[in-house]
Amino acid sequence: MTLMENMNKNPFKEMGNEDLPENMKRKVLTSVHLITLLGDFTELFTIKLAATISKMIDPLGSKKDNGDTTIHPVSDN
Amino acid sequence: MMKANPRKLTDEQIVKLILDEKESGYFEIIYDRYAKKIFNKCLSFTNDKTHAQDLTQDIILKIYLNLKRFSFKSKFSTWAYSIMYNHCVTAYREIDRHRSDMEKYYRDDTYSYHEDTEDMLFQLQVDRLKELLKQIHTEDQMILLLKYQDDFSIKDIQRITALSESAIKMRLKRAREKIMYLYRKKYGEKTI
Repeated sequence: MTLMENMNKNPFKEMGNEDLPENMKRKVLTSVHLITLLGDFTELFTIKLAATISKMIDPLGSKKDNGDTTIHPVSDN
Repeated sequence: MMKANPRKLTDEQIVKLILDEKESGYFEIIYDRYAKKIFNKCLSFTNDKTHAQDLTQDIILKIYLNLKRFSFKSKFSTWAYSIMYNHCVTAYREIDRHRSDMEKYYRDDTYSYHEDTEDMLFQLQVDRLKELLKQIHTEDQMILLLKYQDDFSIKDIQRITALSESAIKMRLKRAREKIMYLYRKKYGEKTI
């Protein structure tokens, strides 16, 4: 080995050259795509669920909508 | 106006595209740039290729899941490597406990070297270096690889590991010494 080759030698660089199997890329990118879809679905589901729950805990909500907030007495008949 | 070839964009520009356009397809470019590097780091911790692949997959998915948290204040590479560093250190914590026995011998052995060993390290044969790296702590291995395989600066390694500058310099020095100590123990004094 020449002096120049010896100076440029770096075994750390030489040891990092193993290739990944091609199916690994497909696997990872499919997972990424699924995570994105599920993420959007979860977000949409959460928004719908929050809206439903907020309606359930706000019983006057529908009456407020038409502006009628008066309490009518229950008839004895 | 025609869009620029995304392959020519920087990591940070690609991440911005993924987040702004909610288009996960661009992540393929990030995969192509980082997967092999991450896989080879993982391979240096284990002899088992399947395990290294699983670890790589977990790290890449973790990077994707955390993209929203990338603040664009640092380079994407240091941010992604910090996820890899933390994941590997956690994954190998149990194995590192056993490696502590070796650390004890290293500390106790009066034969240990306290000289600068960078030049000596570069003279080692690849197979021997691979074998010796597996015997030291994951954190030390990682710091050596970040410095000598990826050419990260001390400042970048600081961002990746969240250690102080002096701690990194000290760890680098000690990691080099440990490798040379193990080398001499196994192969003797003169045969590099």
